[in-house]
Amino acid sequence: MPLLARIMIRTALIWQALGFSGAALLLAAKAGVAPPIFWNLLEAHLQALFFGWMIQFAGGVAYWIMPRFDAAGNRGRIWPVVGACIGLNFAAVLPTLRAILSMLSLPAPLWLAALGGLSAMLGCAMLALHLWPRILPFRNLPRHADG
Amino acid sequence: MYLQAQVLIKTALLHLLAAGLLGGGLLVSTAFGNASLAPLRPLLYHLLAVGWITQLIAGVALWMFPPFSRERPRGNEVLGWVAYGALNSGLILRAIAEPLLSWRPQPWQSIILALSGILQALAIWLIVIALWPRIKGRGGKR
Repeated sequence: MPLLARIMIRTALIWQALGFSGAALLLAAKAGVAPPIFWNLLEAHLQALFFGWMIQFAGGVAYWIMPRFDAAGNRGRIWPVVGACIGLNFAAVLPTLRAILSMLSLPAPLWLAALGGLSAMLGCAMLALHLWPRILPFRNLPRHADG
Repeated sequence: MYLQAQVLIKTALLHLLAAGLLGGGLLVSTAFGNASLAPLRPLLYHLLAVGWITQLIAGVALWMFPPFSRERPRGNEVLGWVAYGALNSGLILRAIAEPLLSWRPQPWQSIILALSGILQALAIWLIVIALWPRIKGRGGKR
C-alpha cells in the first residue's frame, strides 16, 4: 500500500470515528438527554462522514488497488490525488470548525461552509481526474526496456 | 472469504433489503398523501449509510487489507465481532426508539435512542482499532 493511500485511509478512519462520535451526541440531543447545542454538529457530521470518511476511504483504496500503467507499478500523476486528499479533508474540517464556533457562541461565517463545499467539489474532481485513466481492461503490462 | 467478513457482508445485504422495503413503503405512503410514516425517513438513511455501506466496507476491509502478521493475518478478531454486535444492536435499537419517540414519546425511548448512538460509535472505534495496524506498505512499512 503506497504512502499516500495509507495517509488517506488513516485520515478517513479518523473522520469516521469522529463523525460517529458526533452522531452519538446528535442522537443524545434528539433524545433530550444532551443539550440541544449539539444540533450544531449536524452539518459537520454529514460532511465528515460523506467526504472525510466514505469518499476519502474509497479514493485511498482505489489509488492503491486500481490497475497500474506498467509492470514497475506506475500509478500515474500523483498531484491530483494529493489535491483530492487536501480538498476532501478541507471539506470535512471547515464545517467542523464552523460547528465548533457555533457551539462556542462565536461568529460562524457562512463562507466557511461555502469554502467547504468548494473544497469537496475540487477534491472529488481531482480524484476522478486521477482514477479515470486507470480504469483499464486486463492486459499484459508493458515492461521497461531493461527488462 | 473468512467467516467474519461473510457475516458482516451478508448482514449489510439484509440492511440493504430492509432499506429497500422501507424506502419503497415511504414512497408509496407519500404518493397516497400519508405523512405519518415520515419519522421513519432518518432510519432509512441510516440503514443505507450505516447498516449497508459502512458495514459492507468494514467487512471487505477486514477481509482484504494487508495481513496483520503471518500468525494472525486478521489481528484480534474479537474486535470485529464486538463491533459487529454493537453496530447492529445499535441500529436495531435506533429503529425501535426513533420512530416511537416521534409517535408516542416515553422516557425510556430517549434512553434507548442515546444508547443506540453510543453503541454505533463504539462499533466504529473498534473497527478503526482493528483496521489501523493493517494499513501498511510493502515490508510492513507504516
